[in-house]
Amino acid sequence: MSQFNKSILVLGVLLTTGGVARAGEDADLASQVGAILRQRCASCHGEEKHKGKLRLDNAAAIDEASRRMQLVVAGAPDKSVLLQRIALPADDVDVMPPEGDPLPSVQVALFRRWIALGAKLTEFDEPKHVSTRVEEKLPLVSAAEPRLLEKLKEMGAVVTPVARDVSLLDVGFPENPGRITDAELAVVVRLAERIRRLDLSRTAITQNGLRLVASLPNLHTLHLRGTAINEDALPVIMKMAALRRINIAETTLSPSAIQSIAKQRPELAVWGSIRQ
Amino acid sequence: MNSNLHNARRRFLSSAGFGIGNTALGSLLGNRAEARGTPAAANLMAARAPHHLARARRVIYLFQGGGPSQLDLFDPKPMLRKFDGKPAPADRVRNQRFAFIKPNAAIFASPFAFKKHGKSGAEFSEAMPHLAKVADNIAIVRSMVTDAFNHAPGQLLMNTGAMQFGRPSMGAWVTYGLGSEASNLPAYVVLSSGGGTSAGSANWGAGFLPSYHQGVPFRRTGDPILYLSNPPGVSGTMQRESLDAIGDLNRERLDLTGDPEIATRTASFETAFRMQTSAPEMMDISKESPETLALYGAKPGQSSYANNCLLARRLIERGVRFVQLNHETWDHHSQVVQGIKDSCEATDRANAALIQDLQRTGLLDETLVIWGGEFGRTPMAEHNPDAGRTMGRDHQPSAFTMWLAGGGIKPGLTLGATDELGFHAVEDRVHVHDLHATVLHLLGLDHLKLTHRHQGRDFRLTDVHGELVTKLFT
Repeated sequence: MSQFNKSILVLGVLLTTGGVARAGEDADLASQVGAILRQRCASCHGEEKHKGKLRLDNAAAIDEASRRMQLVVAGAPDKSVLLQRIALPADDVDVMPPEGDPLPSVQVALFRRWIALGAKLTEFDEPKHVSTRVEEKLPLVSAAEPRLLEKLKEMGAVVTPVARDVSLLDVGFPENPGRITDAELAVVVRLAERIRRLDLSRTAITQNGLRLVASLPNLHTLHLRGTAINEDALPVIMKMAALRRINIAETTLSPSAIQSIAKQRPELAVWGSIRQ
Repeated sequence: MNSNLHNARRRFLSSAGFGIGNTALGSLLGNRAEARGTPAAANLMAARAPHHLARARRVIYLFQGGGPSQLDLFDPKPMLRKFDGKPAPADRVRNQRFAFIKPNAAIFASPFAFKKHGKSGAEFSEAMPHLAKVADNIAIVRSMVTDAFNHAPGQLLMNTGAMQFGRPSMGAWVTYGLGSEASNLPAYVVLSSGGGTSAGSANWGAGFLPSYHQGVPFRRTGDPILYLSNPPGVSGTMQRESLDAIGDLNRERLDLTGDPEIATRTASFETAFRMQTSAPEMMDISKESPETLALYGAKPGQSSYANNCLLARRLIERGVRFVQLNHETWDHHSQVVQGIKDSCEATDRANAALIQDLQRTGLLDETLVIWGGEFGRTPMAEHNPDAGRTMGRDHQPSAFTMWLAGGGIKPGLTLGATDELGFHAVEDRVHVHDLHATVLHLLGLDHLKLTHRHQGRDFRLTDVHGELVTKLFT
């Protein structure tokens, strides 16, 4: 919601008299209060620091602190420590937040109405926004040398970071992959720990080339679709400790070989079947 | 990105006057220019990092224009038989508006038999025997809802996130966010079968995004893109020599002036030249094995939905980011039973083949497949002697079915439910905006961050809406 819309809403809140919430107002207030607390307070009262043994970044913590220290007394704004502290004059030593501008009066009024109406915590928490980036801790690696990247591009490689502000790379050869042999692959593996995904589909690499790939410590996804790899690839693939997804479609690897990969490495997703 | 460069480039494209559509060429310029190390030739369409780790890298979007009847395909409602031929219960249709029928129109139970399939037990009607075979590979969403009950706004909402014209399409947003890996094919390709779509080219337009993000429609017959073949009397050698001569002159000028636009121009000629070989090669499905052709029901030299499904696979394996198939045959206001049979005859085998083929090649792991239309159809029959309509179904925005498969989608899932008569999605409702947020998320894009400033504000595909449908994720 834009700042402007928020102000309009807050104005609406201020003009609403009496202690009865409009339809949907409880959740609306809670989500706005939650957003302000996370934005202005959570750097000291959040996941990393809990100054004064207090967290203000989630509903459970607010609930706990309210029982313990009257942080929020539902229906009684003036008895609520939270409101007392944010409503202090800007030059008071106890005002919260201690740094930056004090909360604007419209925001203080928003807290007051929220508490007056019962300090409901429905939708207080941040909308669940799943990001794989948060779920998975990525290894930190240094950025690749620009000259090496340039050389790879000249070879026809498409090299992209796997996510913004991350140096781990995704390397593939979508155009004319048949030109790519073990010689080119030897250049690719100079990216070393930076490679997370490597797409060698339909390239002309051989078993020897695959051994080079085994030296990549952070390789998570490997595509070997339509390459000349054979059963000798199995022990090499097994050595790739970080590997989680592999595509061996349209190779001569037999279904039993594929099953043996799946059995020994249950965490590894194997895609592919025999050449048709 | 430097907008002056864009403008200059587009001026060039519009004035160069050679036959390939500006868009086709525009979307091809980037990679090649950078690969050649041309100074400051902004790489417009180079592959870009997603916001977060992606589960899918590319999209095959099977748009089923007209509004397929979920009640005859995916969402069995035995209770409808009890009311068959009687007016719809008043409490179900209160405050509802329909495009053509009255709320008290008679209920019409589906004559199609439904059965559970696969280990997942997903239900399909007998009209889709082939798709039923891949029940365990796809996720069915029975609880789709939209805001529009007419085709053009419904298609605009489904394809661009807004019911008004002028917004970028889903595919345009995706290439805006991710660029493309293909430098000798367009980033976003549109293949059509069936009738023309109600919302027309806006369904794959770029809206206010730079126009090279627009989908490039391939033609159904003859050359997929016009003027890829040389005119009679111009041989490949002759063309190569003229490009070399022009290139030499341009290089001289470039050395003199250092104007990067000259390098860009050279690059664009080269890309067009490369596309002359890459596009016909890509479009030539006769190279596929007889088994593969039979699997899809594709026939070289014909134009069909089946051929387009096979082409979609060929496009994405060559690095194309977004392939959109339009198949508008589903607007069954009359004779819905025969209509469903005909539409399934044209599409069912190919849909299943696409999933099987992507599964077999492992491409499914990183390809997101989306199937669906702009809305669903009513549990009531449409009868209108004046319009010659009988035993049809009207438009229904309050509940319809879509299915997804591949990159990050939980296979075998049936998500959501409608009420026992199929009027409303009541469980795990998925609005079109939620679908868009979810699609972008799987591609590694945050729908809140993927914005473009236009007319003084930041626009998103999801406008101010969109919740991730996390239940769909693996």
